[in-house]
Amino acid sequence: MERAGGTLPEVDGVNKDFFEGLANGKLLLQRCSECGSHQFYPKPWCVVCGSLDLEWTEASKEGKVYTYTIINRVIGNSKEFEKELPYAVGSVELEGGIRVYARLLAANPSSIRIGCRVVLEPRRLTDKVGLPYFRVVE
Amino acid sequence: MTDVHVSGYAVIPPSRARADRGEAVLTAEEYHARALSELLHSLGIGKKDLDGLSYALGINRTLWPHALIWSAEVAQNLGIAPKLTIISDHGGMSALGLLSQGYALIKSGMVDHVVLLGVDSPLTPSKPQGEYRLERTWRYELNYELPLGMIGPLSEAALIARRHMYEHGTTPEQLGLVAVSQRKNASKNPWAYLKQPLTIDEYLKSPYLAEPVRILDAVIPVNGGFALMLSSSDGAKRFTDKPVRIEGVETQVNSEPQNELRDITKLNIPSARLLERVGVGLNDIDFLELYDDFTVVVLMQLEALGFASEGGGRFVEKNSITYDGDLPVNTGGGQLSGGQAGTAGGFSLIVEAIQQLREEAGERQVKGTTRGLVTGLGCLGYNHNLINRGVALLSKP
Ligand SMILES: [Zn+2]
Repeated sequence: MERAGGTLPEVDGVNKDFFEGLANGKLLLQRCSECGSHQFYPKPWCVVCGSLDLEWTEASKEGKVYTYTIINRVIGNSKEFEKELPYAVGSVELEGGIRVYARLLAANPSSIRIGCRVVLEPRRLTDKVGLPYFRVVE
Repeated sequence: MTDVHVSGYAVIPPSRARADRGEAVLTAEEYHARALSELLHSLGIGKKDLDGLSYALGINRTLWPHALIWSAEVAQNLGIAPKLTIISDHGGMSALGLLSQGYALIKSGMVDHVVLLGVDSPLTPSKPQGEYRLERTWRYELNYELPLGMIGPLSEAALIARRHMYEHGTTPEQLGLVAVSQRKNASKNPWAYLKQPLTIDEYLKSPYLAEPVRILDAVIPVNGGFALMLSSSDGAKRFTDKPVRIEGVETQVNSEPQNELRDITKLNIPSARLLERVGVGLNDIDFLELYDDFTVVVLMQLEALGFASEGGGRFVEKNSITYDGDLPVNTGGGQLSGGQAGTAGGFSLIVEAIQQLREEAGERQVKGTTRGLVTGLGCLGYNHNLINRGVALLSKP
């Protein structure tokens, strides 16, 4: 689904709380009530033990860049993103080791390095949908 | 139990569907017909002879959407009646997935032969029918990648390549050596799409698409078609005196599913259990056909197979991987230079191995070869690498 400025996720029963959480400034991860494992992206059961009993827990607002890329050309996605080129996306490692793909905000994208500290700064698209954006702080 | 052999093969040369350059503009259905026609011709039989065989048909799912109930439509288009059809949705592992299933069908005695048609025509028609992508992609890509502005496999590969540089000290020049070596191989391959010589300087000047991935780190998409005939030992004798033996195939779908804490630069191909089962060592393998959607993926496989404990980058610096080198890799140019025919791209690597083992590889023939290893990798997982992994050992009988 396209919106002004990009592509919208397809919200469903499994991921609704994740996108709504980001619209309210929180990054929510699934936690298994039986074995305690965290997981992302949202899934219909615990991929470690198979329990259907999952709850949402708020992740820490800080993480580290595990890897990243600077997008230089928009291919196979909305042309709206061309206005933002070049921009950085990466995999942010949160406390406990869970990784989440996110847009990385930095004054100078070429200054980003693996291991950089990042702080959650979600982009709110609607009341119900936010996206994981992080600001690079060092 | 019977052995399983590849008793025949066919290649329909790749095209970018540029009618203005005199290139073929063909649909998947036309590639099916041409690949089957070429295959039957190489086997020395006609369609009526095929009708008399006990066989199954295998096809890959293409990038352009086709019918939900598709294999019977393909058979109807061709006027053939296979006992059974198998269809692969394994992306880059599709060719290996079909080879594996075909192998099992013949081993079980259910059929004597399996016809595999690997075709795709991502560039025909050239105007996208979907919104941004040809296929309906993964929900995880729709939800957690595209809204961030990611650009599909290119950006996923870039995340892997960046981390590979961090973990192994891999340099742009080392990635470039993969592209340059494979281009040299392609220059001797009549059916490779890109044959003009390539230098490291030209590689380094090629533009970034998703830094650190340059345009020359990625495959060139093409339309194309391939066909393979798999046969039981007795069945193969009817068609050829140069059968290629499938010594074994191993696959793994959604490898290492608890992926969040793992090293995305490790690509554990199920090769160890295949080599152990077949009873051969790395030294018994004369050449490699490694699934090459991106240059870094070739380095990761050299590491995973056990050829490059010092890191794939340093390995390609110290050793030549051209067809006449220390360890020939992707002897026909692979998909990086040969072209990637969508989800049928992996067939090009199997066909190249067969040409080598039949000693039909012309100027790029690896001297004195008896055994080759082929891989197929598909499906870039979330925060992961290629999660569908297949490997096969092919040899002279
Ligand atoms: Zn659990």
